[in-house]
Amino acid sequence: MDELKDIEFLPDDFEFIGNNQDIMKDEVMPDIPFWLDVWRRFKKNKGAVIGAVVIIFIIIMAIFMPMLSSYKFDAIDSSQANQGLSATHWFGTDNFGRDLWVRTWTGTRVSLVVAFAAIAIDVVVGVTYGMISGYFGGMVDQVMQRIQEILNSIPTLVVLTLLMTVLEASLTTIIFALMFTEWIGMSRITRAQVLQIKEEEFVLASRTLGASSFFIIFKEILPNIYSQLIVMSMMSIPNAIFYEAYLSFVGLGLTVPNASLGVLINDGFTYFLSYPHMVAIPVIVLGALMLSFNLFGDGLRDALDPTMKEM
Amino acid sequence: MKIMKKVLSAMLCCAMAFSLAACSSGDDSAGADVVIMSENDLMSLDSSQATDGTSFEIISAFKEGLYTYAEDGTLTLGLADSVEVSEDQLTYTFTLKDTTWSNGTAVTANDFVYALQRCISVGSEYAFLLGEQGANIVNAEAAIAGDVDVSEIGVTAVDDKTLVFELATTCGFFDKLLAFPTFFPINEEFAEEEGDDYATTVNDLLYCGAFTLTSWDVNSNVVLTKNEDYYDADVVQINSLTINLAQDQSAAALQFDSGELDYCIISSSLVDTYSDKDTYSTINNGFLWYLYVNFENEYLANENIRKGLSAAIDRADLCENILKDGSSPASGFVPAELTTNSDGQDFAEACGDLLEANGISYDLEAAQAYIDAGLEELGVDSISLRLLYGTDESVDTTATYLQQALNSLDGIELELVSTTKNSRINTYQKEGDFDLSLTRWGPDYADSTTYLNNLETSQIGNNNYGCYSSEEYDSLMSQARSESDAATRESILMEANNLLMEDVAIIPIFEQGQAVLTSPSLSGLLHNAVGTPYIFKYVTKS
Amino acid sequence: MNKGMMKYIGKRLAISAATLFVIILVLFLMLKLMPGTPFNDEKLTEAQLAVLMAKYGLDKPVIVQFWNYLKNMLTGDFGVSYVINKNMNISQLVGSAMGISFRLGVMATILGTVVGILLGIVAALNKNTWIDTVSTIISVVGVSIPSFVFALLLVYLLGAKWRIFPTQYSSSKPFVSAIIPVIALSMSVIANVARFTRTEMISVLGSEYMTLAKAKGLDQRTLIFKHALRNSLIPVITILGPIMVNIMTGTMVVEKICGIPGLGKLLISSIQQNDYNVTLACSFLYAVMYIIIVLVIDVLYGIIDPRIRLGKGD
Repeated sequence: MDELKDIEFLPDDFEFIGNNQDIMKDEVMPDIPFWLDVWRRFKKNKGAVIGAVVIIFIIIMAIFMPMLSSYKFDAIDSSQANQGLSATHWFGTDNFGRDLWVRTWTGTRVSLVVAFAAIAIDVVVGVTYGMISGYFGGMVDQVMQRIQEILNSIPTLVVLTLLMTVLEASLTTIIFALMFTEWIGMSRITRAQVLQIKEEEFVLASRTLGASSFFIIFKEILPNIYSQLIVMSMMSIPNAIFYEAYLSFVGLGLTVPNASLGVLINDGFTYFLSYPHMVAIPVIVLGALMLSFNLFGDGLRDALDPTMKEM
Repeated sequence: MKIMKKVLSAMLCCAMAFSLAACSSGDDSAGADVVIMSENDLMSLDSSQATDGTSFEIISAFKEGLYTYAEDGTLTLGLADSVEVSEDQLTYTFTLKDTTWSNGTAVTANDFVYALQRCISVGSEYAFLLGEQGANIVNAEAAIAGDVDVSEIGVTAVDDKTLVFELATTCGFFDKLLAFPTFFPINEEFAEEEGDDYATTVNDLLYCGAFTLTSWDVNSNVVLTKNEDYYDADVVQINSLTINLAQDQSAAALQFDSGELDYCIISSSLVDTYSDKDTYSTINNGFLWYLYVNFENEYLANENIRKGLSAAIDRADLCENILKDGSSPASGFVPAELTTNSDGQDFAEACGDLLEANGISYDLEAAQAYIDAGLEELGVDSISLRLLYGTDESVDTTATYLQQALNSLDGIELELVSTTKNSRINTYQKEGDFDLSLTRWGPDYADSTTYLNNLETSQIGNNNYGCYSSEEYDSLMSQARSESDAATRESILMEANNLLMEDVAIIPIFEQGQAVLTSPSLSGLLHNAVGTPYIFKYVTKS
Repeated sequence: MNKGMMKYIGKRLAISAATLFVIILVLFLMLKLMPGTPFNDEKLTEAQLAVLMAKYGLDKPVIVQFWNYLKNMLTGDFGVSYVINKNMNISQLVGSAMGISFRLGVMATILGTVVGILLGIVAALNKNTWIDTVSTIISVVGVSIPSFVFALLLVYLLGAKWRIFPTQYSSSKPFVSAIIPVIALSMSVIANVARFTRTEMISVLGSEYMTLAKAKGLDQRTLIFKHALRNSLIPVITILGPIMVNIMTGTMVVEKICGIPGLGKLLISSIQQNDYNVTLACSFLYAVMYIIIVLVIDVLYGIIDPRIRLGKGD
């Protein structure tokens, strides 16, 4: 306070700014389409971008590498068995002398197909179930929720394991088994959203105008839960990849000579003391895929719905 | 599984000579503690109900039969003190040693009678060893079929120390059967008292062998401790033996390296790492792997197709470069080291390479020619076949190899059908729902008929899953059955074995071996290709 | 605990019981659909098979078998094993397996929670520094990568390469040999708890009552441990449910890698060998544990934050 007293004010200490105050002026933001906005937010998230790049890279490799290589994924050449990484066999060979470069990418392809197919079916089943249950409510909802609760009370891996023993092991069976367990999450989210949205005024308006339930569900409610479903599916994919790997790893999944990441890990595991690369490579690809999908999913969620963003 | 003949290939443990081991064992009287691994779990401690090798070897360690194994692997009297055999070799009279169970009661003749009757009455899978396929004890076959009461079978306790067996026909390997756990005694009073609990824990059992079972940690390990009351206790050198159950082979190899294990089996994946060390060796585990060919399949009924399939398989390559565990290529339906002919030659060796003799050993060009000829006879361009195998039988590698080999033939498309061993047998094979099935057979007793009997027409619906039927073969087999001269019988059986390959009734693949690691300080572990896999009584550790 | 709460718990218990009944029924029927019989020796004759089936009551109609099973189960008798350990009581067989799995699970949960909380606090206090970044990376990796990958890595490095810890579980060294599986299992717990603690901690640190406490002149230590920590830890309870379920899943694979004779390994071998009773008991136990965990967490959650319960619309 003492210092204040010492200050002397000079005439040019202040400047007259006149009447041109424009602090009240509205600034009109340029109209940005929703998806562009999402893209902008997404780009800012480094992890998510890296995740997306890795996913795209792996998908491209999985699609093209088996086609481009001169080796076939199931071609046995016992004279070439158990080789390490080399110029001729980039990822080495397994105990049958099969080229692991080709097998790894073929396996990745199978794992991705299983995951995407399973998730696609999950979304359809889960969303339909959740919509019906949430929209109609009452008795229908009660019954459907109890069924779902019971299914949900059996741990996923137990259901998967049992299903795989009753059914014959094949790609379709695995997809079916995954579908059987993974749709529940989807239907829960859908139902919760439907319960919330169906009370909104625009739905009421639509109904007053005479729209059918079918129309309301698909034209009014569904578009509003798109982004949540996309995020949910992206988050489910690593799960599906893991479950497939698990089933093959315990010997209930795909059978020889087919390859999936789980099969490769299982094959490599028996050799991991002598030839650690046989298990390391598929494990790295699996880890990279799961990590990337998680990062990508996180980024997508934050981008689609900034209010949900974690600190 | 197995009984025995080709006695035991005594496991001479590599580096150390026996004398050296003997020198160093003098200083500690307590004896060493040995740890070994078993790749399988212990399934049963009940000698009359056990069916698997691991159970047999553990039971043989804590119980003993009338006969037992000597240190060199030959048979010697065990709980029996002496035996008298009648001239027609149909009646055996045993006098028992004075031995006791671990609860102090004496081992009596009735304990043996009770064990065998119980074996039939509880529906044991190994009851057949008493019947026509085994010892052929009087009335045993009828008792198994449920036609007469189990008390009618030809095993009687004359008094506490005298036991009489009456056989319906002579049995050349009866002594080996008596050394097998199914024929071990069970104390009636104790077993009846225990009821359903009998043999379910270490306390629900009585012991009379070289060891007692002191702990059984389910799915983990069992500990056998030297039985001081055993009549031959002086011979037992070690204090305790721990068997790690159902252990992973890679893990076992690691433990072996760090000295925690004295003996372990390793998978072919580890062979490359260990094969040049002197702890490494291979043993023959007695199983023959082969393909059932379904004769009900119109394509496979064609002989040229079957020949082509057989000629397309490079068995030597499979064994040397893929399996690498001491397995050897099979060349007939009877594996080596099963039985010895009366002239001292191994049966399989005497037969020679029957695949080559019949032009169906590996030759890809010849195979293609057979297939082409077969396809032309059938009037089709290509045929698709299914190969069935069990994923829990550790033959994925072989199945993969076979698929690749057979698919390399033009006109053959082979698809793998994988399932569990259980459903391979019970669902697919029993229903005839297969084209080719990768299967194995372990010898039940040391005679070629343990294999050859299976392919008789009368076995269709039983073990002849491929429905092979040949009048010529059936007549050879019945000839052999009625033949009393050993040499003639053997030559008939050899002819039968050859006929199977000529007809390609089954496609033999390989005789299973096993790669093992043995610590240099361990010796005296006996291994049998037929019968109880391991005998622990003479194990020493320096 | 108020009346509403009691009613809520009662209702949940009733639903759980009904659920368990349905689960047993479904499992029972499913297992009857499994091909073959438990007696799979190729040398077994039809007559012997019939004796065995009759001995275990498997020749009766399915409905009678189910009724008998249910009756016995209520008295704690799950039957006997047909294959894995012949005639052994299931409760004995499953009991020892479950003990091991349970112990590992608890050890992993405790280790993971403690490490996770510490990591989360350190990260929150050093927000936007390299420490925070490292902690975030650990969280993301731990959440995304399945525990069996960690198990493989640890077995290879610590077990095979450096030989520090045994790779395989052994009952004679129950602690040392459990280190690798426990660390592998706890990774996802660490990740989840750290992530959650950090978020909660940051939000608490930024809240108005913390500003008030700071304005009152409390020292940093009291501030963090007495005020911030307590408030940020309560919500961590809510994620323990999913975490424990996660660990249950993880053990099934880790058990195979580390050779642990636990429930997961038993379940899989029983399936492969058609040992119905063991499969049924294992699956049932998994379901029971799962239901109990979810129930306990839900109830705890309801006590901590009544809004959640009401929000469910029950």
